Amino acid sequence: MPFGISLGELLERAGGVNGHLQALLVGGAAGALVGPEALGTRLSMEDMRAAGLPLGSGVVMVFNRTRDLGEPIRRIARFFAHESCGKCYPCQLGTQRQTEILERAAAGAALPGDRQRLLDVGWTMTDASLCGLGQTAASVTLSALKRWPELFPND
Amino acid sequence: MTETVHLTINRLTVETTRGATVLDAAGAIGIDIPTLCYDPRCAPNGLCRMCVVEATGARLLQAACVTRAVEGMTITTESPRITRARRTVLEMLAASTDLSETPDALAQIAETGADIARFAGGRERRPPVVADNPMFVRDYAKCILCWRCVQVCAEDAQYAFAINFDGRGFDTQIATFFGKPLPETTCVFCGQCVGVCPSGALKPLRAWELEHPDGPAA
Repeated sequence: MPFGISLGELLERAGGVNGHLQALLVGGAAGALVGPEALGTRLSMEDMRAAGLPLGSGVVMVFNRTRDLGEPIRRIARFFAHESCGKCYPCQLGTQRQTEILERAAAGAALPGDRQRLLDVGWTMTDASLCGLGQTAASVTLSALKRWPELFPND
Repeated sequence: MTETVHLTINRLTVETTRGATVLDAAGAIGIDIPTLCYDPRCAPNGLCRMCVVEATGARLLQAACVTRAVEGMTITTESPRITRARRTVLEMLAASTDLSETPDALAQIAETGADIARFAGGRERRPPVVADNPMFVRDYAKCILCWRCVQVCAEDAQYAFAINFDGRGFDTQIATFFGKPLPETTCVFCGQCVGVCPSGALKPLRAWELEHPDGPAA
């Protein structure tokens, strides 16, 4: 694909969406989840930056409305907990706590305050981790919290 | 000739020597930046991230213990963003390990208003006590993974290389190679690891026995 085509055109060229488009994961596991409103965004450094999205590895994963978005979010959280080397505290502890909070929410056992816990864990990892793994370990969760607040426990 | 650099910390101008860290420069003018893993006797690693500060031009928070002071740098050591990181790290740590004998952590919990029960109910690190030698006891349920013991056992002091990290992520633990008892390792029982442990995880056997009259230490 030529650099700079829009996300929407990319989907068209790939054969279009099966069913109704719900979300796109752009940039891979350390990327961000966005809704159909991002289809006009061009895959260029400038446009992605302006939209607050990472180009990341360049991967685009598409989810239609039959998918429970919580499932890929939890899978990515588990991936980071597994990949964390354990050196710096924010990532060593945060990847574990992020996974636990997401999993208990999925089990219908969310605790009051879990939404704020996810935000605090996520921003602490993003802001204070030693390397890029911890700094992006909450990227998908934080982007989804912003775009689909209804997916997450509320107080 | 020693080269000097000038930086601004919390609006105060500081002069320090090239090569000094932000933590050193702040300490020299009485600005106390909290630390947990840092020990001036050991090489700093920037693990606990309690010493994170804001540096103008830096996208993310910087660990003061490993950030070198450079000419013209502007540092802020207290802000809501910094407090959130410090408080959240303490809250997550308190839910993971036993901090009852880590006075620095307890003081910082009080200072930041961290809620130690906030992440309770998740996984905890509670490995059994290891008493495999006549010199000291290893209670890793109290370990905060500051790395000091591993460092003094290696290039920071003794060059014995008897202990290292086992596992990774949340399951990281200090261990001997293949989990062997200490007497079967290259440990020379110099005691330096016990001396630098900040959390009561490593204790002389006698101290342990006095605290635990019916304890498991053999």
